[in-house]
Amino acid sequence: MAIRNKKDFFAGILLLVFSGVMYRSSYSISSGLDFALGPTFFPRILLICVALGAMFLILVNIGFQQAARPAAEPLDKKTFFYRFCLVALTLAYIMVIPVLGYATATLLFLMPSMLLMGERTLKNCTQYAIIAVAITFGLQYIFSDLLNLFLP
Amino acid sequence: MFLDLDGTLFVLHPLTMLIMLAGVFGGLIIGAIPGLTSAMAVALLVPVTYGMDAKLGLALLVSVYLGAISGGLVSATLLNIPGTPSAVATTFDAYPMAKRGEAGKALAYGVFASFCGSILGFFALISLAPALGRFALRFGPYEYFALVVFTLTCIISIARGALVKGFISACLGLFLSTVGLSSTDGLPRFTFGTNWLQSGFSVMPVLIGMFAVSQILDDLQSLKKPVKILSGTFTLGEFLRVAINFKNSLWNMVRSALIGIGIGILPGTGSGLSNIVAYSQAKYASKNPESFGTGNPNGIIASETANNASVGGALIPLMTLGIPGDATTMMMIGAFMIHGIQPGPLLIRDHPDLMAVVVVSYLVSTMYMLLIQMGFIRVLIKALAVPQAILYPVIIVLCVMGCYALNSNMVDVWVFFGMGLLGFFMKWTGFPLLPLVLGLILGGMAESEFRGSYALGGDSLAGYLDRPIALIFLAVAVLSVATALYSARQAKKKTVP
Repeated sequence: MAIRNKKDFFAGILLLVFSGVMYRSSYSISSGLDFALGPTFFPRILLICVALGAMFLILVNIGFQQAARPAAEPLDKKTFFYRFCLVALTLAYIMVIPVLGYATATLLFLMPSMLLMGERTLKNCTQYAIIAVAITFGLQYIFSDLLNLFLP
Repeated sequence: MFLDLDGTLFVLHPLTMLIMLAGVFGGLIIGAIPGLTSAMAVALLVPVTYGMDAKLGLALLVSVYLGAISGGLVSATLLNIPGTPSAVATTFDAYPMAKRGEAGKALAYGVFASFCGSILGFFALISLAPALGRFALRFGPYEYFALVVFTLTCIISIARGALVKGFISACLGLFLSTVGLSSTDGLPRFTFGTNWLQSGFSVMPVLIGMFAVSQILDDLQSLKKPVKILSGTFTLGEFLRVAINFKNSLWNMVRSALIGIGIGILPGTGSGLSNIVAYSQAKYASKNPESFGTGNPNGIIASETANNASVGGALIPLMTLGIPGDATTMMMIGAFMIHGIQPGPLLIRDHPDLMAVVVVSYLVSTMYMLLIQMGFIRVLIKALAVPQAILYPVIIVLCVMGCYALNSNMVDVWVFFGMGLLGFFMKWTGFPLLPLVLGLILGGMAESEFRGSYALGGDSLAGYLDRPIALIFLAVAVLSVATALYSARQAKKKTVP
């Protein structure tokens, strides 16, 4: 037995587990007056549809013979590194905003992100610093002073 | 009266005109930058409208939308990279023209075709929207549920080769819309005892996360890859010569505009598809089809006319039925909701001023678009050189601030982040994003109308058999899925000997 497309196969398993867990948790929804099919009917039908689709994905990707493998995409380590770092920096940024406040957190996010993705020469670093400060305080002025919106 | 005087005068107020000028300019710049789509342009500028009057916000969003669709022309011509998906076919002939030293001519053709496409889209909007709006007043729960099914199947059907994934994606979107308090029963669903899930998922953080974060993570592949920007601009004389020569391409322009409007009205397609269909039709109808792809101005005319005309087409179902056609109109509907506006037939009947704002701002933005592209094309060319290292972090900050400012809480920011990762994962595994987002937007309507129709029919669905409009929508929905399945089968037969 062989798996034809691992991405689809595992996505199917993930979706099947998700629909199962959600279906189970739909039993904790109060049924209320059961007006016109009740509050659980629609989500349950949708979860059944997701589960059926997931099963289809799993089944079409199981073969009994090793399928001819398409040429594997070269793993671009650099792109993976950039993606990982940007996601990590964004996660850290969102976590520290309530603690440090908008201005400090944004400055601490913008500078390292620009340095991560750009050329790290003295000229560029100066440019990034100026842009980070201008963007941070420019946005603060636009959101807080011009548009009267709250910033963290 | 369709064009309400209050709404028209509001758009013609100097402050509104100034803000729209900034909107078109911003849209053109964002559209010109490769990788930043018109949906991204609207997403980045939606937070700016939070503190504005609803009419002013609407006018700004329409101007940004129109500008962003046209902005793709510059990068398509000088970089061979379409700034937005709506300019893919523009690259086929504009770049070869630019390479042989006719960049100015290619840009002039594109600018004039964009203008003509927008004007024709405007006429479609003012002639079709009122009629469709009046017709939609007859709709009840049966018709609305059938319309949602039709819209979702249209969007699933265009995901050729990924029909099942499109179906799963739509079901997931509809499921996400059930999280929170049920609008029919007022009972909490899938909140897991938390307060922050009681009101369900806000549309904007989901939209911004899905489209902006996944786009940035995807585009990191091209980070630090060298790009060569060809030089080129056009003079007023060159532009006028192009405009005079345009009479030779009149039929090509009209055909492309009709294609653009038609595709724009259909859910799920929009300018991203219209430019390619119009290009292929122009090539098919040409006496010199072999010249297409080597720098034939008719290719640019077809693509740019169609993509701009489709904006007018996409606004028709958005305003009259409350049904978004593509990612950008989904962003627009999200923004409308923030301002407490529910697009649909009642909007035209009860708030003709808002409809007039959309229509008149569309026309004014078209004029601005022409003037800015004629006078400031050099600024748009400069925008191509903005380094991605600066662009992406700034976009993330704008998205985070936009999501926070929505309700002044961090929950929306976390939803944005989570949905961004989900969007990237879905793209990576080949699941289309549009059906999920459309499912989330239309899910509430689908459920309440379905349950309403069931209750109206005396706990039965037999009432659908007495509703011809609903039956037509459902029949077309079945037909579109059947056609997509047939095409997929035929394509598979061709690939397997």
